[in-house]
Amino acid sequence: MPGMLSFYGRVPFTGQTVVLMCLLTLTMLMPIMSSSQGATVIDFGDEATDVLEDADHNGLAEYLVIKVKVNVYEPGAYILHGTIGGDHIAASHGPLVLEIGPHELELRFSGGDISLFGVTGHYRIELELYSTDSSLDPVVKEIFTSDIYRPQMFEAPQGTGRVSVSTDRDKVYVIGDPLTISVNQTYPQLTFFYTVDEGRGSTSSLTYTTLIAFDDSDSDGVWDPELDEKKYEADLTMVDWELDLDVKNGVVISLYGVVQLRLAGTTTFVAWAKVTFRLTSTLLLETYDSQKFDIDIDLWQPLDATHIAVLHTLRDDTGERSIEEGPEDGSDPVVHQLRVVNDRGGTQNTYSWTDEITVGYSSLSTGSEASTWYDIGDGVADIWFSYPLEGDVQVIHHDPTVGMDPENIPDVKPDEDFIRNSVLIMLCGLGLGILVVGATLYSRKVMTMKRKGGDT
Amino acid sequence: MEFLDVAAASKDVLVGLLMVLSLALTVIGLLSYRRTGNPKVGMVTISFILFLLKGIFLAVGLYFTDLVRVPRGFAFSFDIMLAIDVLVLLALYLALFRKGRS
Repeated sequence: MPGMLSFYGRVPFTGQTVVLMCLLTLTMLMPIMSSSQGATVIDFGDEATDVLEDADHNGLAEYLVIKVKVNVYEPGAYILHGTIGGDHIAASHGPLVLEIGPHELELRFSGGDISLFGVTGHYRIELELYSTDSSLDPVVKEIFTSDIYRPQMFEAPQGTGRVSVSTDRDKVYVIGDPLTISVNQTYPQLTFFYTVDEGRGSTSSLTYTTLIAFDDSDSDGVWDPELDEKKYEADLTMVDWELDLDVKNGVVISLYGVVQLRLAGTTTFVAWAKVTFRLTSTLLLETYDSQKFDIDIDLWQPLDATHIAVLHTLRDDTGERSIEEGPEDGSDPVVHQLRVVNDRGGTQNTYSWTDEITVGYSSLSTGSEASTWYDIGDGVADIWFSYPLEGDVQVIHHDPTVGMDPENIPDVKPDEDFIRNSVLIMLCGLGLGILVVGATLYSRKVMTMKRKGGDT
Repeated sequence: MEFLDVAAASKDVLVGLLMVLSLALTVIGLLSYRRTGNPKVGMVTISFILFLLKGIFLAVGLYFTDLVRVPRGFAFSFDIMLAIDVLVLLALYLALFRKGRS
């Protein structure tokens, strides 16, 4: 093949050249490939710094503030989370909507928590950055070593029943004693249980599922499905919920979402409302066994309906307890209560509310009265809160309470810690024994043979 | 890297050693008894069989069922007791060979 020969003759080392070209092409393509898959959307910038915050100037810090520099490569909502000493102390900031470029974020660790942590020295702080969009890059982690601190430099928590906050990717926990409440970060659900048993035997949840607007044709304040009263409806579980955690003044957790109300029985969206569930740690009652939370409905346009109602479900998550109606205590206003009762008849979780609500046009201004009803089943209760839309009401506020009965705190024994058993290591011991026995038998045989050889 | 639990690993190795040594001594004891017919050897062999049963019980209890679980607070004492058993068997085993050489 003269042509081929002449080609090889004109371009020496053709094979190597092709390989080199391929490598060069790959090298050029790599940045493009890496930018299209698993690209870095946010990263830590320069070294973080730590300062103490002593707002009341009493010489004791209320917060250890970590100032963290981050570089954002893709705009979005991000959460900065940090822990000290494993999971002993945790703090979060966000979700924060960040534009492309450098930013400085703050993490505020409670001085009370550090005071109780009781460790002197450099604190190893594990920092995590992640997007609220779980499809984006996973958590970016960094370790920061703080200056030397002593617990005595921080303000000790007041009283015995302190409150701390902890987060994971799904939930934010407000931990008191005896009550712990968690708020789901992407779903309208509250979970509450005894702190001491970490929820193993006492968890109940409140899940908000449906919002409807209806015309109350029989004027009883209650939605009657048989009277064709429903005009608008929205599935609260299908809303994009966002969580805002503010730790500057106690702990304020706000879960909010924009709800699209559609004409009942159709897919036509006709109205929007912002629904917010807000939990404020300063409203944790002095005994730390119950917590008020807010339900706020903000209609973005007037609705031609007489009432708006929210359906939620109180569920015993252990599957072993029942739900009962609490007794009327004769208080004014009347307090309605549902109780989750264990098999010995002891009340553990409680959910209570009054019919008092606050309403208004653009802001909350006047008192009004809700209608509430419920249907108790096996370990579950469907509860309706119905709010009248009298006049030009577009803003509604209601504040029920969840709690744990301090009389029935379970006696939880700490798990006994047993050492692990490894078959593999035992087999190593077995092999060692076989080796010892084999070696002695072999040496005996050798010596016997030697002796016999000597005798002959 | 996961921290190596020394107390747990020592216990596992010692159980293995206990089984092998007690088995070896039991076999030697049985062979000796068959050869000599000496009741004293028979009694000593029974004690080796008991050690072997102890080893099997521990192995089954620890590795194949939840019958035996060693609390962390008791792990060190458990290891010492097992180590003494193994040392007793090892001493008896080596004594056999010393006798053989003499």
